[in-house]
Amino acid sequence: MSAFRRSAGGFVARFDAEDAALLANIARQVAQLIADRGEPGDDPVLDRLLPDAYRDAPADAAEYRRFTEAELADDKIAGSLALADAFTGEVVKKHVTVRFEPPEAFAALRSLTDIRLALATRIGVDDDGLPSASGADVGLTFAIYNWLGGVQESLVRAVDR
Amino acid sequence: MVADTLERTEESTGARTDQWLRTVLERPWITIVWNDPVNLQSYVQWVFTSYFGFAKAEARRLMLLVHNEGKAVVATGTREEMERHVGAMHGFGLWATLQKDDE
Repeated sequence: MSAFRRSAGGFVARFDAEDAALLANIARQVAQLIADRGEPGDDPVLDRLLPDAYRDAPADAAEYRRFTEAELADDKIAGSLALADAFTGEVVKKHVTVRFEPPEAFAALRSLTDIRLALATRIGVDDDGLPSASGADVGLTFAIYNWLGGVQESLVRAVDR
Repeated sequence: MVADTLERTEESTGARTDQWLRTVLERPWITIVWNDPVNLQSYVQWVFTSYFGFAKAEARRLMLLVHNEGKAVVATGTREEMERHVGAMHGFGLWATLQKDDE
């Protein structure tokens, strides 16, 4: 990928078409995961994306969740799908150009966070930033997670200047 | 005597007194952002500037507090305000909770 840069009031980067398709695919899967969610405690990924607002106060946490979770979840689903769409552009010479206007860039930063949180939670990224899970896919997932961190860092730097 | 005055004030101003009692007499509520190994320092700093409107230096100070101490209090006020902030932080993917101060 090329780093995101400011261009005509927006933010633009060029991605290898396969990388862009991978990111879009992950974003759609995260949206689906949120849409299909069960109860709190069923899936650590969802517990991280839709966390309790109160610690050590289960009744308050449940009450807060009852009034807020649906809207937060809907926002995250819409954001992930918008991120997926942004990375599903026309392929020109095996590359896709991704462009965000400022409000979309802000939303993309949030959704990039969500998909990174989802991958990191799945492979148990610990306080040292390393995966604690074991299994065949952990190395690959960790590599993708790190790559997404680079994508996000590049967009933050372009936005926050 | 004082109680009488308070009672009359209570009757005359109603909701306003109620609000005053909550914000002045009660311990305030706080919003805490907790450290996590995933969120980028640059992103957390950006969230603090863009959402709370902190100057860059203050946003950076709070971000480093989260990173180094494991948590930081980023807002103080009524329970309703803190619930709104925590909801916003969850929207940004930051791990945030609210509680009464010094609980």
